[in-house]
Amino acid sequence: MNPTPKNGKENHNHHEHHEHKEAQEILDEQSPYFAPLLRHPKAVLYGLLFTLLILLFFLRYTAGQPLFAGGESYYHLLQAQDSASWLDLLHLPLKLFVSIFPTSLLFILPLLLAGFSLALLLSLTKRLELSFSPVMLFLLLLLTSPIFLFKFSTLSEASLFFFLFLLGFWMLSHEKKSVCYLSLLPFLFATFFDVFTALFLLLSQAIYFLLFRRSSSLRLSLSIILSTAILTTINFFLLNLPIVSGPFHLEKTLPDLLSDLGGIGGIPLFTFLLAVLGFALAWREKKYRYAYVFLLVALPAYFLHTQFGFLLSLVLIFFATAGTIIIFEHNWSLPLLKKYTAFLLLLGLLFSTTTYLDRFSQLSPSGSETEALTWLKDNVPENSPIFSTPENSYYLSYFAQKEPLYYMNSPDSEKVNLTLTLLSSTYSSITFPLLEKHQISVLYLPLHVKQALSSEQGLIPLLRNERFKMVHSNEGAEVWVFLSPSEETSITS
Amino acid sequence: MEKRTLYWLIAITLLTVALRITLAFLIPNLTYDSYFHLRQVEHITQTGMPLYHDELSYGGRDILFLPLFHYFAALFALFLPLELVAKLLPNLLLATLPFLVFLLSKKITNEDTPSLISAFIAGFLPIFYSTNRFSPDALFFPLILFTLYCFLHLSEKKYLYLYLTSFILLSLTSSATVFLLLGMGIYILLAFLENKSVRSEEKEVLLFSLFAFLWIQVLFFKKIFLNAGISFIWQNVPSSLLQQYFPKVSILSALILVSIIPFLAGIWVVYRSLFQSPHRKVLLLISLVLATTFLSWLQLVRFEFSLAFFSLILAILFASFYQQLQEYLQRTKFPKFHHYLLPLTIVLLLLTLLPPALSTTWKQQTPVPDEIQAFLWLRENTPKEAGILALLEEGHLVTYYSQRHNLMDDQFSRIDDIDQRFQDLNSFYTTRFQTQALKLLDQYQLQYLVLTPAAASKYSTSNFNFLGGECFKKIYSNETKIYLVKCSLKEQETPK
Repeated sequence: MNPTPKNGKENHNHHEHHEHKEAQEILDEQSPYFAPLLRHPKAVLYGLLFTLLILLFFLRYTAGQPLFAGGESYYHLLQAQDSASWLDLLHLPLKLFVSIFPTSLLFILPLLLAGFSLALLLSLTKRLELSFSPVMLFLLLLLTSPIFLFKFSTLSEASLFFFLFLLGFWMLSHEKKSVCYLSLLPFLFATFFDVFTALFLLLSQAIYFLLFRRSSSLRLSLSIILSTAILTTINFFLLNLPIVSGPFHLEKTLPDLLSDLGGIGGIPLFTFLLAVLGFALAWREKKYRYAYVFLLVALPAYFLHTQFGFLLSLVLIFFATAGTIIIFEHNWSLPLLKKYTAFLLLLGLLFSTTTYLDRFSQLSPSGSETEALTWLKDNVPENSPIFSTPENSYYLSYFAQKEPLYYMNSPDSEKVNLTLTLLSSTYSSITFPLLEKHQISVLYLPLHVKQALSSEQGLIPLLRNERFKMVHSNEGAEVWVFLSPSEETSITS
Repeated sequence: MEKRTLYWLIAITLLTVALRITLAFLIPNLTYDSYFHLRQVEHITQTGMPLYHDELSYGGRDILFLPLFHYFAALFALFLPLELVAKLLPNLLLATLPFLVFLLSKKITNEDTPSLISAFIAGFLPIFYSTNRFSPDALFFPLILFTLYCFLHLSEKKYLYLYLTSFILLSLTSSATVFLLLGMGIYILLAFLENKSVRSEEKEVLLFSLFAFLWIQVLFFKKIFLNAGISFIWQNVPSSLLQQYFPKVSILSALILVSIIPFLAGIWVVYRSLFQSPHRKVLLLISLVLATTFLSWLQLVRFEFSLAFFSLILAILFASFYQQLQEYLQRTKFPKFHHYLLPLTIVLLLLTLLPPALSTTWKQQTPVPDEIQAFLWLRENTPKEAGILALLEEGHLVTYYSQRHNLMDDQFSRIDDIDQRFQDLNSFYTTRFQTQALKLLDQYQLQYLVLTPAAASKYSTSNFNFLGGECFKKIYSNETKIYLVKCSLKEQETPK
């Protein structure tokens, strides 16, 4: 039977409406693009997480580099080696691990932390009955962000804090009160990093109680929050807890935030733009408003030290998720453009992540640098102080087992000035007396340092002087000795 | 469009084409920077690919740029001589500006006469009268106006597709597309502040455009972003040249280049509109003016470039000014004066546009034929691996005509020691010490020195000051002089 014209029109309208709706769905559970990811979310997320992290290690391994990039891992390894005190809670697990397993297996630690953190996050989502698609989106943005990949492929405070943070909230969300109280353990453990991290934790606890545990006893909320606050205060005043830990690398505010500008971590430019959009649009929706408070802690901390970048990135990725949801949940008058925009976003994010994977294998320390450092360990007398740029201090200490002028995260203004003068002065009349006064006889200059220094001014042209002698070189990583006029060096090249 | 209007528009366009091409052929060569683009186009016609690794520039370097203009020109260069394409194509492209400005003005005023006057202004804007310049700007300006026109017609599906296509092409032509994006962003912000509703398709298109633009820029300039960080904005221009690239705004030069009448009229329209409730389309143009001013003020774009865009927007806004002036005159006690308004405007515009336009053309920095001859001579008479010292501006002449490696040219990005290199280049023309010159010649592997009349005039010298003895032999002597370096300095000196 032929439908009546009216029915025909209705059918046509219904069909059009259905098509329009289908074309609009990008992030829904029914979306042809997003639904396959939501069908097996755990497999997708774990697969993505471990593929990316293992790929990072694999790339460094095949490039002949030590598995851990950046100074922070070596700082923690040094702390774990040196620390005799049981009070150094943060380095105890590392110390334990190193005493049982060979150091070549250390890469398992960040992988374990990443895996457990993801498991806790997924379980927490379920317990708090959060809608899964936004969480999935958040996790996809997080797991592919360079800062997450960097922090969870190295030995970092951020990864341990994130794990403890999630463990604490996972326990707090448990039905049994005794388990809730036990959450104090990871929370208190998490106050030992730095003041701003502890403040971030306190804020999270307060918001958690406001949003999810309104009905819970005041005693529980107060005891958790007060204990955290008290221990943070004690740590700050008695244990000299830093305001923000670090730095462990030469910090650059913008590049350390945006991975596409060449920083050591950061988030993709597209995520940042989504975060800006999210920031501008999310205030209209009540459920997102609490996120703004985190910026009050995260932004000043980040400007103090970009080491706080991971926690700032968490907030930004939250805003990016909110921004993406607001943009794509909304019905567009140009549905085709919506698809193109989503596709462009995906391309941009993938591009940033793949670029970072490519870049990660070139981060310091390189194979040639570790070779030069090992040479230093074997060939330079124990008591010789070594001059290099501060970001090499942890490598000098760990690989060469030599004392640098100062460590990057504990600068001494006199030593900082000395380093700056030695790097910038072209005049032997300034440099030589300084080297003699501070009894510096060995200089370690890896390729990236030489490239950063001018070839015409400062230390590099001064190396042509006969009092400097290059005693070892491997693919640009060089060791120089500074000879006194009368003395003959005992170092053999 | 009425036939009469169409004829007038064709007449303006033809007049512009005729004037531009005549001027272009009156001056024998192209501007110095054009030779970089010329070489790229030549390379595309030969290999199908741009020259992203240049063995001659700076003695060998990677170079990154957006290639659409070069491909577009290469298309014509397949059947026309390249140097003819270089003179014709930019002038033909820029001659489309009156037509596009007419369309945009008509969209705003809905009247023919004011729009024709705007078109007339666009045809003779002094800043566009570098008729011998072969650069992507020639494609960028018509394309950005066309994109803007499509943006104002987004309600029609045809224009949506045209917008998307032109925007992608624009993003592949120049990074200055950011003008449009920032302008659209300011437009949405102003509309929000004015409590005006912005059409949803406009917001959607802006979002798409933002991501598309960034994606294309990141794709092409990934290495620059990674190496230079935020400094990529300043394109690694040597610090001593920054003032020349991003000068402080001089009202006088702006007035001359933009032309005084459109400038004052534009300022008046913007001022009036900000205190009244402006029409959506005018608001968009005002936003573009604000974006341009903002970027120039922060020294984020080249002053000349932003001034060119600024002048086009002012030309469009002039239509609105003229329309309002007409309406105003009819309300006064002298409505008959309205009949004299058009001829008076045209005379005033001719007087304020044409002389500066001609002056801009004559003031173009182009090499004289003797200089070109000297660089061509070098190609025939020097070994292929030779390095040639010439002025910064002449760097592209060394690579294009002589096909030898230069010390420096104006493509600064991704050169590590740019300030040092620029300082050393200047040293060649100022130092009196032969040892210093020889050391630098060794360092940069240069075997030939070129002293053009332009270099002599720039450094107020008749010759290199360090010449003398057996180390330098004059091998070419005309207005331009070429010297062969016969000595090499062994580095034996110790540091200071």
